[in-house]
Amino acid sequence: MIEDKDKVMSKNNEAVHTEIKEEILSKFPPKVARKRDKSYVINEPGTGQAIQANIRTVPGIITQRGCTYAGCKGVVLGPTRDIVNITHGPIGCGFYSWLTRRNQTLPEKETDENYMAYCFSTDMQDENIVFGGEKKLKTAIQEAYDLFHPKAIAIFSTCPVGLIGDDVHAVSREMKEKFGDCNVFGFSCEGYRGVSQSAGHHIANNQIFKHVVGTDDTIKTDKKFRINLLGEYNIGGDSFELERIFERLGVELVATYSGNSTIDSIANSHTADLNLVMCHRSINYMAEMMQTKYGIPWMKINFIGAKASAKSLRKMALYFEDAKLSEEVEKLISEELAVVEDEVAEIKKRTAGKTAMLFVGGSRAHHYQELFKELDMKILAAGYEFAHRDDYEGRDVLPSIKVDADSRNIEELKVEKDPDRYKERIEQSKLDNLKKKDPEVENYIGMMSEMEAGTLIIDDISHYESEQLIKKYRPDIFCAGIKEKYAIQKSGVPLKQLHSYDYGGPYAGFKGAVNFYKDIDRMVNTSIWSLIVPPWEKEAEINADYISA
Amino acid sequence: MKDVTKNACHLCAPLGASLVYKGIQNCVSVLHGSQGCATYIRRYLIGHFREPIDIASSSFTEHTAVFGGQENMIQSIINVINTYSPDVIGVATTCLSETIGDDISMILKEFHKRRGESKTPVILYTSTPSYRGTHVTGFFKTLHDVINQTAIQTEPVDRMINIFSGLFSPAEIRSLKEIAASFSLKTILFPDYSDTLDGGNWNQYHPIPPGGTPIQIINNCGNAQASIDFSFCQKDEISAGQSLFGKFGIPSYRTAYPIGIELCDTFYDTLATLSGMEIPKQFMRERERLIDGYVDAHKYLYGKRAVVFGDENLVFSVSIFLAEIGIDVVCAATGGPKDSLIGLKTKEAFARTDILEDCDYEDVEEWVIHNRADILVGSSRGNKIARNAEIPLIRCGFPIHDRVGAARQNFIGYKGTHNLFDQITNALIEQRQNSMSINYGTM
Ligand code: SF4
Ligand code: SF4
Repeated sequence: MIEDKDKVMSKNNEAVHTEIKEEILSKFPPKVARKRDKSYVINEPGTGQAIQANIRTVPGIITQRGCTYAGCKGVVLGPTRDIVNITHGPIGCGFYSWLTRRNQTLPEKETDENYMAYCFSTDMQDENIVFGGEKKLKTAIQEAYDLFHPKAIAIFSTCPVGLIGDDVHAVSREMKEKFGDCNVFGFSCEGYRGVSQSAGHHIANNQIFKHVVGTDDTIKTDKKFRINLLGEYNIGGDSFELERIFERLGVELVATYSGNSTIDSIANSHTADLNLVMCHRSINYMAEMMQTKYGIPWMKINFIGAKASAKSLRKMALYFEDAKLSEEVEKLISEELAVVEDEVAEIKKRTAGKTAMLFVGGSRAHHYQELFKELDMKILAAGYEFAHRDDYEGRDVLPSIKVDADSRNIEELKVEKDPDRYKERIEQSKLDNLKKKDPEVENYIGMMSEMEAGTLIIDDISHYESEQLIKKYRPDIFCAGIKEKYAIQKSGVPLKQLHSYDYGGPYAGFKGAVNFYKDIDRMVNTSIWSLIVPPWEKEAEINADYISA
Repeated sequence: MKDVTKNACHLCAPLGASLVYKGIQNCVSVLHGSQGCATYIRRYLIGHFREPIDIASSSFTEHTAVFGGQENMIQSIINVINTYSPDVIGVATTCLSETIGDDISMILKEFHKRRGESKTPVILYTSTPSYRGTHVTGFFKTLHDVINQTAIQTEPVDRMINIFSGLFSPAEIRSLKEIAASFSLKTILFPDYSDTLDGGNWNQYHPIPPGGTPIQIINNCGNAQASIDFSFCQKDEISAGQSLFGKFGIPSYRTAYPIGIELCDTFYDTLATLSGMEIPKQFMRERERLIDGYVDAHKYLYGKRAVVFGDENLVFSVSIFLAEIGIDVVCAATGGPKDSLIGLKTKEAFARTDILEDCDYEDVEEWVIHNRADILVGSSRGNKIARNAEIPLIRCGFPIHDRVGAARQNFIGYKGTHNLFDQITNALIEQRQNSMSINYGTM
């Protein structure tokens, strides 16, 4: 353990980091160590450092990553409440993705369709594996249709299905034609297809774009400002807080991808005039495809953190060039920030100077740094679980990313301008102008450039490595997920779950920021951590010191 | 079998395998397949036990899926050896590796050949495709396979018995060990995850949590005088006790989970027979207290209608216990295979019980909607049913994801039963108290 925390925190800690890194990697066989080494960076912003990301996890190294199926079904489509999602496969895959991400949803009326609480599976048996499962799938779809008459049914393939060669797309087409009033579509998202969840995000984006987006052209309101919010999944009610903010501003949220969403809102989302992108990793494909086909510009924003939220709202107002909207935005910001600042001033007294590490997701490890900064806490290290290099280094790096076998596995849709429905939302010169002023208009600058020099960045950290980090650095809080939670806490360091929020939240927007401050205060300052070393051992330590001194 | 399963009432087989491997000292499990299964299963077990659980995966790619997983498996074993230095590695297959037909024993042979003289942990393996089983059958099958692969007979040991555990909580395992020790028996309890899945805080880092049955002790199972085997509702071919009987002639007592007077009596009696001792006084006192408890509370319980669901072994025992205290088990449901509750069907007390096998939570919910029930007993996945029906749910079994303390729940033995009894009674009293217009302080 490093006795001198200031040493780690100082800017010249490269030697310390390197030493620790080498010690951690020395446990791996040389080949694995060399591979892992490329996923470590000691940050020096502005110097064009490269990090290895989105490559296969080494077998046997206990990763926190999930599978392609998890990214497709669990993340991108899980939160849409009125699609009946059927997992085609043996029971486990479907069962484990049942409501575990805790996306919330709130149907307008009690009678509205809501299948979120259900987990449908074909629960394949021996004979389906041997003789094929298409027949069972068809009857399952029929059963679900007869039972609910839903607007849409989505089919997700798990690993064995890919192997036995069931054609979920053909089955979906056939059933869709048969029903006439129910959109049925399939996803080839077998777990082995990609490196992580991330491949599943891409597959989900593609199929939603093909089968849902643009199937309803009606513009249902006469609101002047119409936007989509992409990559916001309503964990812990985040979307509700953002809906509140947009509503106050008179901005129409046509669709959220996909927190608290319905299939109709997504069908209609190509009529919006701007896409705001929260989680770049999971949804950037959609933003780009909508830009190409329908002409909707996109910008990267972040509603995690009060100041970041204010900045994001101003950015949106700038795009719409409307004095009234700008005025509303300023009014809202000054009111909401006043409340937030009152709260944080008190809490900051107890959190200032404390340290945090974040190893999570494909955007959260970046976004949540804002909230810690607002608490005057220091980030020691951060990394993603399933991000790509552009999420670390920024999209400028895209042309230089090698396409490997795993990425080739996933279809790149050929998207073209829609001859009828493409519409320029803003003059090109104006858009160019915006881009000049703000590097995150139709772009993402990534996490590394926003982190301090000397911080440690690690991609796809393994279980073993995170335990070592805890031992060496002893941060005041570690942010990750439930899989890491109890191992980290056993060592006396609190772990904040940023997948499920430990059943707290919302943390987005202004009210969310306050919730987060309070939760972190509770976690780093609770008296229980002082009980971990029993008094007799504490005494022994003092005695030992005394004797050796 | 239905074609669409809505909210399944069982989980998948390698989860059961991983649980068994957690009961071996210094053991890491490796699932052979894509990494999603391992990640999901870890997530599920961790949510229940609230303890660190490491499960490795051979991380299949598309290429592996087509050409076979041998190299991935070998590499993952090597990496686990290097990072964890385990004494034992427990391998289980997933649906994917089973579908492509990977033969683990062949792969392990190749591994040992390449490894040569290097120090290598014991490697155990089991085949657990979920299209042929559930987490419960996966558990018993792995237990069976481990014993089959490791038990040896050398010199029978006097007064030594095997206890082949069921899907018990860590607290229940601890209590089983204490009970057996009170009969002055040497016991090999397996799998013993009472410490690995319910540990204290660490002042020192442990790559693998301490606890579990050491492999040398498991080897010794072949020298026991008898086995008590809790695979009561399972098929013979996945009973570890049965396998030892076949191999070495060690008598096996297939025992139901000891919940309630009748089933506990059988269990304690077996111990008395095996030890040649009378049942120790302390247990007789516990038994008396339990019956006294039954007497005190019968007026709150008689004729109440209960629905029990979950793991077939638990459903079997809990149903018998409920019938014993005057509660009508109106529906007993399991996601386990057909005929796994056959033991209930043949009992007079359950002649009017709806017994659902291979069912899902929606079947249970449907049942509750169309029939009246006063209380539910089962896993936390029943909370939707309880909420909609506005009746209490007594959480027991697996998973319990919405309450703390799943690892400390003890519902077996006379004392454990008393625990469960109090919870059920109090839940029914509370329900009644809350529904009265006057707030009675005495019930
Ligand atoms: S593929 Fe089989 S083993 Fe893997 S999660 Fe699904 S059901 Fe379980
Ligand atoms: S079988 Fe494949 S799809 Fe299912 S959980 Fe495992 S990796 Fe994911």
